[in-house]
Amino acid sequence: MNPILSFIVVLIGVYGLATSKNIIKSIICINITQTAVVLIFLNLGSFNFGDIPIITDEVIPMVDPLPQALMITTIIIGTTITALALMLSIKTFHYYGTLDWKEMMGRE
Amino acid sequence: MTRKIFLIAMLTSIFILFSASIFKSEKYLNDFSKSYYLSNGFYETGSKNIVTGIYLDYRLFDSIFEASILLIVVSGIIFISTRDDKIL
Amino acid sequence: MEYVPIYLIFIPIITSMIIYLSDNRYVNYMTFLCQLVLYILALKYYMVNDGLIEEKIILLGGWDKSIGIALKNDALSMSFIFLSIFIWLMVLTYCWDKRKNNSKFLFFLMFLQGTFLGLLQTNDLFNLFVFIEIVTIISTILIVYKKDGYSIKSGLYYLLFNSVGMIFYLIGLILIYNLSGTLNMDAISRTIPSLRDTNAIKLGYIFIIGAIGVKSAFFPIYNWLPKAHSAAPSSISVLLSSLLVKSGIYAFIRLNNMFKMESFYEFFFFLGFFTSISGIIFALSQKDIKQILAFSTISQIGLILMGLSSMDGNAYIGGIMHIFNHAMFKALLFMGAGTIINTYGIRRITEIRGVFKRLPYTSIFMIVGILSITGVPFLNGFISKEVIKYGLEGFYLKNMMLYIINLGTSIYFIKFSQIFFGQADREKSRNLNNNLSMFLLASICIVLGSYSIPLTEGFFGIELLNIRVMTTYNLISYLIMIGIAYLIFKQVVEKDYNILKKIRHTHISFEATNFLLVMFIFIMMLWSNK
Repeated sequence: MNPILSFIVVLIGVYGLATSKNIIKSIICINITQTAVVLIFLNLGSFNFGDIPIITDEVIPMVDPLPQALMITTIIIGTTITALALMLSIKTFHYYGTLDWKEMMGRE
Repeated sequence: MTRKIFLIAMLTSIFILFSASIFKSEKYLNDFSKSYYLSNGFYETGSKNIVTGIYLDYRLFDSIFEASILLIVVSGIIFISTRDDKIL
Repeated sequence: MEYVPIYLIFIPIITSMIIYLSDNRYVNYMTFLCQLVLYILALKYYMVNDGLIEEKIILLGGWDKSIGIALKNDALSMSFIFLSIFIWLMVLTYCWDKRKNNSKFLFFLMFLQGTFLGLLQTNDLFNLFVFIEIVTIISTILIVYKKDGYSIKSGLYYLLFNSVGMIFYLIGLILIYNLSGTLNMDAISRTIPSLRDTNAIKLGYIFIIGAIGVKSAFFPIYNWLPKAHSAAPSSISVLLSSLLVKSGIYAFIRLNNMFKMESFYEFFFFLGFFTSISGIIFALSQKDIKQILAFSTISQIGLILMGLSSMDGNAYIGGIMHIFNHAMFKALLFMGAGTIINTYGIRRITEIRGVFKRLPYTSIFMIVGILSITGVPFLNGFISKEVIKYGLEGFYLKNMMLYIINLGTSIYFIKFSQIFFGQADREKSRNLNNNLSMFLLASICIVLGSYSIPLTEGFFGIELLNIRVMTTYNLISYLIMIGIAYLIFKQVVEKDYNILKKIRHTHISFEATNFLLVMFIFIMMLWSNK
């Protein structure tokens, strides 16, 4: 059930990307989609609903530790891309005076 | 308006295929690396937190390049934001 | 000697940091020293391992093969490494006059070389993702280097759209990891054959190919390429168009060798054809000199995809040969375009006249490049196109498609070459660095024209059947094709009808491109379920 809900959030993000006319809205939609992909990774790695993968003296079933390690890297990459994209959109606002995709691309 | 309806139709079909594939794949699951990490992680790396053991020992190569992404992006942002005095 | 792949990745990165920290203009010459060291190391590694006919794998950290990250080198990756070191040397020679005191530019350029050499050697799916993201981010910073409005707009579009593509790569990755238990490409290719019919593997494959299609400019989703390649500074345009767009095609080859989904090979052939045709139509309507070359890149990538789509046999080898040849002559053409823009100051080909009188050496080398891309029988473009045609023998429809693409390439290059005629009103100008690098590239084109087939046979260890290279039949058919192209150009293209004006001014905005990406994934799903 959980991976399906996370995938719905991904599709909401993709729908927002395909219909948003503002640059800042596109960047926020990319951020939403990346966060939802992190949720999909964590959900699909834990099909047996165990405990966190830290070794203690008890013997209990644990979830898969590999997707969690990959997601640390993915969150960092997503944050840096958002930062760089926001910097570039500030610069385009200085040059073109608008934050609309069609107007900005149409003007030479 | 037709574009939005078409878009919602395509996204719904992708969603149906995705959920069908998750439900049908439950008998093919393979947990080779999961059992390897949980049984040998503490013995080979010496850390009780296995996620840390993977991030800093088994996959150190990824972590080096992720730190270098931070270096590149910070230097790139500082470079872009400085103003050249010719363009005002 | 056995850790040379790791040295190849880290030597450019350390050089870039040394150049940035000591802001000295004599230390900047270390870039050339770095290229020489890389070349010697790669050559020695190639010689010691007997030409790398079998692959050589390094397990980083000594862990088990399916648990840690591995680097793999075989003949394909070694040839890409040689090509990339050569192209980087040419780019450094070309831009040295303007950038020899600019240590920030050299910092980003050398760092890009290190991570690109890492992308070519990795054998792990998530590592490939990290390398592709680093290459995207550094390319964005280099595209916006001039910091004027057009560059920043194009850089933003490039960055956002490639990030959206890579999100789909991650979704495909988790579907595959669930069913195969490991992230190593060799281990996955051993567990895939029993799982090839499950829905999860097919959906994972579709998502990953959608992401790789964004990176290598397939048909509906190539719109970032003309904007990015024409807004970049001249030396970065050379690098982007000849090498960094091939990184997507390299990942495509590796992933298809891992998955081996045979039902999609026809789809890729027709996708390559549509990519090529749309590149030709858009190139015919443009007037900016760099936009014509950027659309020509899209068209040639379509041709490469048509060759690579069978993944076996002569057409596959022809596709790989065309990757190398295209890198050479596209770099040559972009270097010439950069020199012309620097001397003239304007970018529209209807206003630039008299290049032959004003920049004689540059125009000679550019004419070699133009002849080579249209397929003159002495130069290298002809050989790869002949091998692709030879591989598709027997299918009359496919040969017709190849002929149409060659004809279209000739038409827009005839339109391009009208800049050479006419009078020039100022005296000649000298650019030694530009001419030196262009001379080296043009001579490589001519040499490869005669020796391409023995080189490919010796490098990859395969046998190409007898393909006759220089016969009068080929020369006459080439001249007939040029004649037909000239007639079509005079009748149709030069009049500049309204429809060409409309095509020139279409801009696909960001939301429409994302819609096209979702449609691309949907069409692949329909194809896999038929």
